[in-house]
Amino acid sequence: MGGCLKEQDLIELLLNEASAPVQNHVKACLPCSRRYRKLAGDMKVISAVLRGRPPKAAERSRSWSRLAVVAPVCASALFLFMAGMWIGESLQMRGGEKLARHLPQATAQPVARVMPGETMLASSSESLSASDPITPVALSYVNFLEDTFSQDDSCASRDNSFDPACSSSWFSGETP
Amino acid sequence: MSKPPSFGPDYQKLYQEHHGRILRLCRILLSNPEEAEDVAQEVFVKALDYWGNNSMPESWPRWLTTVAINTCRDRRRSSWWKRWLKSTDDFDEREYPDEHAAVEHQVIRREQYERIWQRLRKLSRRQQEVFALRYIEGWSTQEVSEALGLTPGSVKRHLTRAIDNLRKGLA
Repeated sequence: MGGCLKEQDLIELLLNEASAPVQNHVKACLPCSRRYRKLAGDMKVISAVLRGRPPKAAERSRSWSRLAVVAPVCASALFLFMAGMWIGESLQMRGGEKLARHLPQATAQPVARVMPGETMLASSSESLSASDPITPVALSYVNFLEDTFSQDDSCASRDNSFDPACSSSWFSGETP
Repeated sequence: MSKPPSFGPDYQKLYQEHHGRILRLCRILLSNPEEAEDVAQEVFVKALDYWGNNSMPESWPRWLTTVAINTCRDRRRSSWWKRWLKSTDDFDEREYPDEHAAVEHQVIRREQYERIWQRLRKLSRRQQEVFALRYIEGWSTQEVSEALGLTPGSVKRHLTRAIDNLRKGLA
């Protein structure tokens, strides 16, 4: 057998499961023989210790090691929860600010377009005129308003004789 | 309890012969003396039930060891948090080595004693079981592999790693 033995071979020898070449090698090889004697001595001590009662201090160390695992997990979960809360709040605030920034413009410009004389009344915080450039938000709002108004006038576009909701306005509109 | 079977040892003899061994095994697998005693008692209560049913395993020592390993597994799985809560801060010098230890064991330093137990706790459950059965109980590799459902090669690897880790506690 060339070269020194692996640790597993020495353990097998210690437990009487080694093959004949391994046994012969340990007898012939001085370093392996020393390693084997060291292993046997160590295992004698370990065996003696483990045949006794486990010390309570060792339990404590295990509980601390468990705490060392549990605590970071809990802290991480708490951190993620808090971060989620903070991000949610800040997004809400940012959304509110954006809305607050766009709302006067969004309301003033459509009104100015539909009713040029009412511009100043519609814009509460900023003085806008009908000549101000219209933003995409305002444009979408205008479209929304136009859709809404056109839907309100739906009674005019269909036969209202069977619709009580439309019939009153029909008659009231036509009756002088 | 029904009459014990006429063959084999009687229950009391079985208890006297194997209680110490099972207790030691439970101590290694649970690392808690009080809980190990509970589990050892539980194992012998199960043995009593088995005995009462006129059942007889092929080998009582092996049956007891297998039941002890399974009971320790259940205990570890179910109540680690209870053990964590019940853990104490005191280190009692009388806890080591016990009265059965030889004189040479009494020179083992306290730190070393603690370190070895700590190393044992850091082993995986498989490594602890393999070490306990193969080295402390003296089972053959084949017997351990059959009992734990592992290949012989895997048993050898677990044992080598366990011994390597435990020896670090001596350094």
